[in-house]
Amino acid sequence: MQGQDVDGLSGRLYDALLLDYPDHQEGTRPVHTVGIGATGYFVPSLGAREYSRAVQFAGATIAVTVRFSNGSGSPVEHDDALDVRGMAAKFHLGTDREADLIMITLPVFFAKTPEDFLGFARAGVPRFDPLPTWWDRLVDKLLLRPDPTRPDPHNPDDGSAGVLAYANRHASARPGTIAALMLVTPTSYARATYHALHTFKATNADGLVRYVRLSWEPVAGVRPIGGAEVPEDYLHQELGERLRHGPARFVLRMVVAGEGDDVDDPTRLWDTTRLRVVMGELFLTELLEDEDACERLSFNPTRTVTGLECSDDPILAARRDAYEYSCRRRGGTGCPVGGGGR
Amino acid sequence: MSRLVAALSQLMERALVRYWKWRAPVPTPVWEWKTSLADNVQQQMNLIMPLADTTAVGRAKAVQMVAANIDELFTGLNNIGTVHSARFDLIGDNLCIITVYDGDHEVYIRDFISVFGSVFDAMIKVVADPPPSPCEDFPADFVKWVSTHEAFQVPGDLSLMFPGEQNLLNLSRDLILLLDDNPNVQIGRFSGYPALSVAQLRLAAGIEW
Repeated sequence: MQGQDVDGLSGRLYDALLLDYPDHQEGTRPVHTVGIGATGYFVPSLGAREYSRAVQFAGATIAVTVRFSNGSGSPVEHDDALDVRGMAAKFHLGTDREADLIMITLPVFFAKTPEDFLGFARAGVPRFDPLPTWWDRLVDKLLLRPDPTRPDPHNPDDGSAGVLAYANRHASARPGTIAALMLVTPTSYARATYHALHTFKATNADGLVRYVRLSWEPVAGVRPIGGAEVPEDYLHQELGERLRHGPARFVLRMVVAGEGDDVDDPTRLWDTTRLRVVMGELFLTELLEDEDACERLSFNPTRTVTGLECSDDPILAARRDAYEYSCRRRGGTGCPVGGGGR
Repeated sequence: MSRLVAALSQLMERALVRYWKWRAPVPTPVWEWKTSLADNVQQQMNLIMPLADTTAVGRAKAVQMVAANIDELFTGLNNIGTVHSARFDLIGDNLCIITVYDGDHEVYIRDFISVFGSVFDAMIKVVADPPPSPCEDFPADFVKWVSTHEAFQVPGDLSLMFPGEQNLLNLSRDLILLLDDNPNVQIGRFSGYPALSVAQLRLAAGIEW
């Protein structure tokens, strides 16, 4: 019954997201609509199996498919927009066995329950947001507030004001909103750090369970574009160019929860003092030629295997069915999770 | 002309800061004690002590004072046994002790007093607002004095810094007011080996402890 949207929640989440993108095109992903695929392989670190008995950390090199994306649900590509970027990775573990890791460039999420997220998504409906006048700027100066910025320079319709008002009323939305206000636009999909947001349970061969969070860190380092003028599709162009010269590499880092860390709440950051372990390195070697196949491909944050499994995070549980719902709506491949449907 | 504009702009900013400190004051957050082991290793102490004499002569005295006591300092730090690193710096007109240590903050300061209290007594002779001395006789005063001279440590999750703020647009103003009260701030920290204690590292490396 997974993914059947028994209580209608997945449909409501899906529809709420669509409200934020009026030009959304049916048959595409509701968010992270514009993407680009790449393939390569993952090499686990020697120490990874001390923490997880998952197949992808056993020692062998694993084939991987990755889809990078912009966070917007609009079908129009604006790589230069100040937006969340996504990196969905699929580990091919053998016949009909896969494990996914879905990460974005924000370290925390906006809601800790699905109902909260519905409220947040509804608050982000775009409204016409005129450029600030000299008077607005003067008032901001007097209030010691920063100059306002527009996330998407091409689009005067913006949901930021609604999101901000929502975060002012809901404390759990604040860390994510503050993180979103500090987003930068990367020079390359391969020059941003991506976070899995949720906590997972890593179990080693001795049965020792640790609560962990995962991130992809670019070996080339993080670099934002700053104020540089860039073409609207520069991230796509750059990735192809980069891979022609050699692999794009990412280190998979895992942070282990400390006592008192909230392991079911994706709105809470953990302190940087937590134990940090290198779990392996990803080498992306070429673009995925078949763009249609990449766009139909289903990723799901709950597609895991024994040794690295989901926590009880309610957002993570809701994402399972919401991603399945979305997959069916757009005729995707690879759902349901664990069903081997391809 | 641009320098005049910059000066006038700074003058206006100072006036606005004074106004907002009166209109909407922001208290410096006090961090609660945490029980996680990871929270109690590799803690930071950034002690910023303004010099009494900020001329080159006064600064030279501070350097000579530290240099003359280096054996006592290093032996004491070794004997405390929970110190990852300690630096003694002159930054601007301040004598600074910047350390990373394991365990409880107050215990750490009291360890300082017991292993090189006499160095601290020499040190506070060159600072502008010294606590009562000798510090061995006034440990509670000394602990409090150290706390008031530590750089404020900004948390990674900025939303935790001003929990009472009802409007996120005001966070930048809150930060400005906080910095006006706390000019010395630790903005970020990184460790190449987080969550590991001195004892664990020395044991793993086989260099005794």
